[in-house]
Amino acid sequence: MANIDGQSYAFAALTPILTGSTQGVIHVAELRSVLARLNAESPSPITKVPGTHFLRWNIIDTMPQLGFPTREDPLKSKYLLLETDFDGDRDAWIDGFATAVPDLITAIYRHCAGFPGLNDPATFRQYLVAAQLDTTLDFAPYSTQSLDRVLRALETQRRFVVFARQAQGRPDAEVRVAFSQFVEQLRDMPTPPPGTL
Amino acid sequence: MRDVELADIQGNILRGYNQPHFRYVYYRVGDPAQGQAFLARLVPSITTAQPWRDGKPSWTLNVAFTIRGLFAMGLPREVLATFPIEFREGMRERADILVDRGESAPAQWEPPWDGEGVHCWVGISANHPSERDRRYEWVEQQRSAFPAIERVGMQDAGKLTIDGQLSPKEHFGYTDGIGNPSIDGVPGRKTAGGGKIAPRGDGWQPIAPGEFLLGYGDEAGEISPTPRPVRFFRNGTFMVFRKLEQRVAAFRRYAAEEGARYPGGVEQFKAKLVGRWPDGTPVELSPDQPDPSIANDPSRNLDFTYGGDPLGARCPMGAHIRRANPRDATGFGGLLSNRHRIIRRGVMFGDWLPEGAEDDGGRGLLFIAFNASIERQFEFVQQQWMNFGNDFCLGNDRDPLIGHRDGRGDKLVIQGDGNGRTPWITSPMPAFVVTKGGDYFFMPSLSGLRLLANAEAELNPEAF
Repeated sequence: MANIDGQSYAFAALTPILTGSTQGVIHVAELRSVLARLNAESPSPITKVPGTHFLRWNIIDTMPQLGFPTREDPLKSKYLLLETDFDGDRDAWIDGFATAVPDLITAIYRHCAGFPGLNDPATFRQYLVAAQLDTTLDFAPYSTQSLDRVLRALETQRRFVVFARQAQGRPDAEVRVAFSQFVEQLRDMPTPPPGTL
Repeated sequence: MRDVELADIQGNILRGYNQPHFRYVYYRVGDPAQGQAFLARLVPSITTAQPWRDGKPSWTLNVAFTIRGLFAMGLPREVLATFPIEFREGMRERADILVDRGESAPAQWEPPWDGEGVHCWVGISANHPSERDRRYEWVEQQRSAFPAIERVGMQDAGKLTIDGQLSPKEHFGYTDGIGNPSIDGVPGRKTAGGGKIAPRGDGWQPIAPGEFLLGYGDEAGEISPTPRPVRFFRNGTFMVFRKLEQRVAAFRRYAAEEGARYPGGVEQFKAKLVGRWPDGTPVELSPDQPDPSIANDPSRNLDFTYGGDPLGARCPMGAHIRRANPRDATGFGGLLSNRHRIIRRGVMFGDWLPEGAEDDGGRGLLFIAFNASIERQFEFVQQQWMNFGNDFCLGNDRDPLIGHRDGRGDKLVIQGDGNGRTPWITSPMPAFVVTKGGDYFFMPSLSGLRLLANAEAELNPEAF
């Protein structure tokens, strides 16, 4: 199944964006501004969603076909595309997503058709699953490694540069001792929180 | 061999003038008719790419325009709209892609690159300062007839004088201007190593002219989507112009301190950083010491590849010239490099900094690059190869010489040789190069300039 690669799940969901406006708020315009603000936030609120390697939203306005003259396939509405790579099980991830960033999800999906709100986790899960597209070609950056392992590896790399700078040029015996200590420290180091590296 | 129309192409694109004295003059055009009349006066004196029958001329003159400049010259919006997005946006808008951040951010740029910027760029070069001044005065005299054209700045540049002698070196002390591409259909020496690697790996071939000129076939065998009308764009190209401050004292201090710790010593450290010894010898060909017999031989000082050195045992994988033109370092017989080449025509501004003196912001490089696609060529090299390391298996590391500095990717790993020399990781690097301004220019053909000088009559959208 192409949605799963190693221990990584590639999830994509396509939800229709409400046309027109509600009480003066133009849905697609408001959605664009929510997403634009999100882009500028650092660290990204998505770092709070457990096990998430990567996540993005795109607005699909139209379906142009390459070539000359350009033709467009008319769509019934604009769509919001969610793409994400995470560790493990889909349903558990959606539950964690809803728990971690409920305000963000509401701010985004209230502009999409059929959004049931977040009062009932099962209903929101069904909503996203109903909108799911099978991923046919996933380019997972670290399909065999969990988020924690990737974070620890990056931190190890960072610390190793510091270690190597101090150790290089010193006598072999000293380097050997220092390296053993370094490895001990790596074992005890805490996993850095997502978004800090 | 392709037929490149040399007489219609501005001269500095295909040929380095290699003159010691340059002056770049920047104008803003307040009235299209006056801009066109001013240009009409300059056109007969523009230097083309035609071979010099009677030797090098004593002076040259070239001209280019930003998107705002073309608009100010009266180019119809229908034509402007066909330019590529990166040119229409201009260099300031592309700062994030170019990693012009912090000290290099456009908000910090100096006049005239702040605010409205430059419309028209006039480049003068000469064998003697007096000739340069005479040419400049002539240009200014033409302009004086047109009060709506404002001179907003100028910049002198050229070769450095070191110990009373004109020098081929740039401010950091390296011999410069070695590695420009050989181009199919352009007369002149076809230097081994200057083009692309031949399909069987047995030698070198010139690069397709469409990589550097609009309207010709490129390395994909295509004529890239040329803006319209073709008559205006063919034989023209895009010029990237950047004023880069070089912090020479900071560089010397870092090289001395780091080189003192590096087992190979200061000179070898400087060579590993750049991929060339200061005299120009490629480190790939001579990793342990400079070799003047290679450095001074144009048939040899470019004639090397990295395919036999995939792990950087000779030339480090992050060395400046290996990043800027990786040849076959990224595999596939060099095919991945061929579409990211640029022609460089940079010249130095400011005087050579005496040993021991401190930086004062007064020197650097006027970086000039010509390419058919700013996005695919210059911007790609700047973003992916100078300010990122992924293509070279170097993670976030940035170029050791010109990379942006913000605490990330600020090291060079000098790989070991598997034969006793262990790898070396440098200390964090400070900024050696800072962007002070610049923009994207279109350098039209001679035909294009004549059209522009008569824009209202000839570039009527109805006519094409």
